[in-house]
Amino acid sequence: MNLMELIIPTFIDFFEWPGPLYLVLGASVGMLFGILPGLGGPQAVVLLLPLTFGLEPRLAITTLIGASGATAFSGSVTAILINTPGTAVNAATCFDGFPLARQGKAGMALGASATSSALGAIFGAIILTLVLPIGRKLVLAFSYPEYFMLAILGLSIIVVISRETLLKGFIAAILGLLFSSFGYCGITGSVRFTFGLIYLWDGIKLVPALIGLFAIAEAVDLFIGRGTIARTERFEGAITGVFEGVKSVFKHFRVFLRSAIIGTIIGIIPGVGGSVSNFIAYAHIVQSSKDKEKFGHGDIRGVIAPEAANDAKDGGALIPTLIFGIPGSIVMAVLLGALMIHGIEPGPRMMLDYPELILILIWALVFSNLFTSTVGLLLSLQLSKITLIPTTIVAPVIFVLSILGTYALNKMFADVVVVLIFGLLGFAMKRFDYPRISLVIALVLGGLAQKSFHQTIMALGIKGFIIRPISLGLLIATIVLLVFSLAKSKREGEAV
Amino acid sequence: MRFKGDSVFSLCLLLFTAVLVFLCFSYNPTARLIPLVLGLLGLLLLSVQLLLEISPAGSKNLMFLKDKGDIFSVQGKAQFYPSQTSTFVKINWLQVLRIFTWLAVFVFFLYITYPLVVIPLFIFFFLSVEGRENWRRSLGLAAGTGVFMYLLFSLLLGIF
Amino acid sequence: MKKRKCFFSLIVFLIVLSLIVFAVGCQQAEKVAEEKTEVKAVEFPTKNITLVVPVVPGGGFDRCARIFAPYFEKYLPRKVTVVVENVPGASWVIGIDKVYRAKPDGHTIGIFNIPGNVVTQLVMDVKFDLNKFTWVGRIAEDIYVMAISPSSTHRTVDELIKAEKVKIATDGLASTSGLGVLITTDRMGINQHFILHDGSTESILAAVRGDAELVQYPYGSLKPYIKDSNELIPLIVFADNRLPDLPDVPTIVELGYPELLDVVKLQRLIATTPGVPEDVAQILNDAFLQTMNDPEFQHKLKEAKIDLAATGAEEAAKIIKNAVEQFTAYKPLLLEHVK
Repeated sequence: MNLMELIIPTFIDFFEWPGPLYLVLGASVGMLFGILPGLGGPQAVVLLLPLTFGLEPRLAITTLIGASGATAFSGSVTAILINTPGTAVNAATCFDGFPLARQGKAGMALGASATSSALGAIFGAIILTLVLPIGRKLVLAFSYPEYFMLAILGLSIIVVISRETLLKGFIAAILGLLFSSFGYCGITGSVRFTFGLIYLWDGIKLVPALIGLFAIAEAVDLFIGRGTIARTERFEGAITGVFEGVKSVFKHFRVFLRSAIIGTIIGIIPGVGGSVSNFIAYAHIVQSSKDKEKFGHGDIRGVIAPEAANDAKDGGALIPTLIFGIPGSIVMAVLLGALMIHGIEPGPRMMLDYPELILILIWALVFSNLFTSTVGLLLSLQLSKITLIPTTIVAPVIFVLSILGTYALNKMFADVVVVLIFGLLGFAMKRFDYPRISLVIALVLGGLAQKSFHQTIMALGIKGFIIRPISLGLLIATIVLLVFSLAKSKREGEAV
Repeated sequence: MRFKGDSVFSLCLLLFTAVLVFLCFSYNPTARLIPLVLGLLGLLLLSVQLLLEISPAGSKNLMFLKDKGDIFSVQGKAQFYPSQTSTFVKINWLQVLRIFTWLAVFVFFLYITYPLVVIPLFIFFFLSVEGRENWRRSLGLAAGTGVFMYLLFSLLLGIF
Repeated sequence: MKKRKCFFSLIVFLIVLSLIVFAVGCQQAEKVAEEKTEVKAVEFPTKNITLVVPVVPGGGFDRCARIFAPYFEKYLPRKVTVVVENVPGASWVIGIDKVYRAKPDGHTIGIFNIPGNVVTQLVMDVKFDLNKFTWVGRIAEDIYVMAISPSSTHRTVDELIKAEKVKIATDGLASTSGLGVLITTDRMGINQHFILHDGSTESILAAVRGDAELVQYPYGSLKPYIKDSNELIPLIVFADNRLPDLPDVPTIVELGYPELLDVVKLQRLIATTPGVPEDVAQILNDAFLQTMNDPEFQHKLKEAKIDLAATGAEEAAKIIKNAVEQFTAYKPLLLEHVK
């Protein structure tokens, strides 16, 4: 395999000046965008895109991948510190990251997140390199019924994570699914629930909804609550906290490994989207742990799992992008566009024509993550001090940042209105114990589930769901998961 | 019969779902299938929730749900995810409403004027009025945020 | 007491802001007045030109616009920047609306997808009228190819017509490609069974997988699967003459459906706001034509797999007029499938 032979030469190429300079440039922009709620990878790469036109392809790829690779870890910083996912892929990091920050262990959570992210990205890159030769078969193995079953498997997680408020969890999930069917749907040829507004043709967009549900709702709650985020006398500000976080990843290495595998697999499947990987990894780790009740109260494994998954998924997502020219996300679409402007066409021939570029890309992914995580570790002490600032001061800044961040996304004020509406909804949900996580998972997966449901019926008929082995396997996995977790909650209920 | 904040919220959700279900009937059969099923299911669950919340009698009748391992516990706080639920028992809803009014006003002025003017003003007034911070601190933060926003959104991103 | 103080301060905040609004309003009024006098002297452009791309970054139109912008700005009489702005939403409507409603001074231009946007105008309740735009010119035209999946039992057009059911993969039927394949198969009398997708790549993949039998997309999108991996078999070329790349594949004219040639194609046009003064439109048009003749631009476009097919303003306006007329005829067929 000529790909393997090229690993070392491309590594040397990659470090040829000014390669590292562009990597640092890209990664810095990526970090900044990742930290800001609302803005994320897509905006970072679009901003950098014009700059890369004049560069040779090698440097263009380094810059763009550098930026997109940096966002996933950076987004976890705000998730941990202020319970606001910096990008959509960090939503699950909030569940345990923020409780850790409240206990004064923000440093530890950041350390774990940085380590887990960097290792996750490396894991994803290794898998990408190994799988590329057979990636084509992998991608083609997944058709409509498999997409549908994956979405259902993801949705069944709602049962696992809203155990104690199952009824409200279901209600929130149904709301999320209904929200996901807003807008124009090419597959059913219909426009639904637009209330006469052209804006709603595109449905409820994930990012403004997330910002409202988490950032705004959280900031209002913090503001009313006053005090500081770290509600403890003993703030572990010392470097040992960060170091402990780094160590924890190795202590829970199996947790890390399983999450990274989940992340990579979900990345490979086009159309499922990276925003799902962190939830599925998180839910899997909760489900497979004996001491479930610790999660949600600041369990470090709850930080390791989603961060490993969301960084590993980048490696996976490059497989359909490079082999088929099918972008799994806007970031990948922009990357494809940049490649094509340089006359490089992703597709069946790319592996044969430009193997060295693919490897440069993989190196960029790895080093962008290493760079970001290193910077993150160095800054984590300073960053974690945010949790000591009075919330009355933090909250208005969160308001301004998230509102302008959302506006910057598409320059549409309607997006900002959605943020406010979902902020109110999120606050009410938080107040009345409706799990917002259920709503978000349903919103993310609802579109995929609905779309692939209709497509399965169109292409294969209703039997399509059960005649294919992978689809059937996923269905069985879902049923097993549901039965187990319901039976378990029942047993626990009886024990109490 | 108890009718509290949570019941009001559940009622709002119920009405919202009802509107969506009603709208479903105007779409073609394929398009309405899934939202209709979901909407009806949502109506059912929300009715159960509402019944459990507002009437003690109702919750007695529905006790069979609770018997099943307590998974349908109504008042059950999501103890599993304390960070995802509110930390305060009592909430001054007037204050919440006021904060959202502030935000709406902020967005409105953002729409009709320049962000670089509105941002510091918003931070300053919000902090000193709503947050009851002293004016020096508010002014400092307002200026700081303004400069930061200018650097980020105006110089770097060219958004305004 | 405290509450009252809060509300009092809120009012002060409002008053201060209102004053600012007022001041800004005055300033803008002055600006408008200034610009009016400037336009009289045909000083154009006086500020940066925005090139609206009504789709998310990354696709063919985005690529085309981003290649076009730097060369276009080179040929404008005054030194300004052409800024590409993605305004995605509601299948092009939000972006097109932005161009439509901009100040008619020529500083806002947009890239258009014809016939896709024509179909949108016919099917959706939109506020703009494509015929009213000030058209600048056409950049490119893509040639469509109909291809079948090797997993299908059919190999020729005749077999497809006789088949009981042909699974066709396409994106929404109101899109350029969707409508093209709908009209083509309808005209040929093929028993259509549509499997709809969110985008072209997804439906091409469906045919590669074998979940669908027939796809019809621009040659550029299908080429990798036809030429490089043999995962799709080309059937018809929608052009006057056979493609040098596919010498054995018949054209739609040879098969006896020349009228489909006007319907099944994808054109990328540039237009500005309706009502732009003629001299400004002339400047834009001149710069546009010079851009089209720039060899470096042509080379870049070719590298990005976009087929240059430049025309000036008049032809562009004619293309739109024809397209609107033609597709109005297909409206009943379209409404049958899109509700």
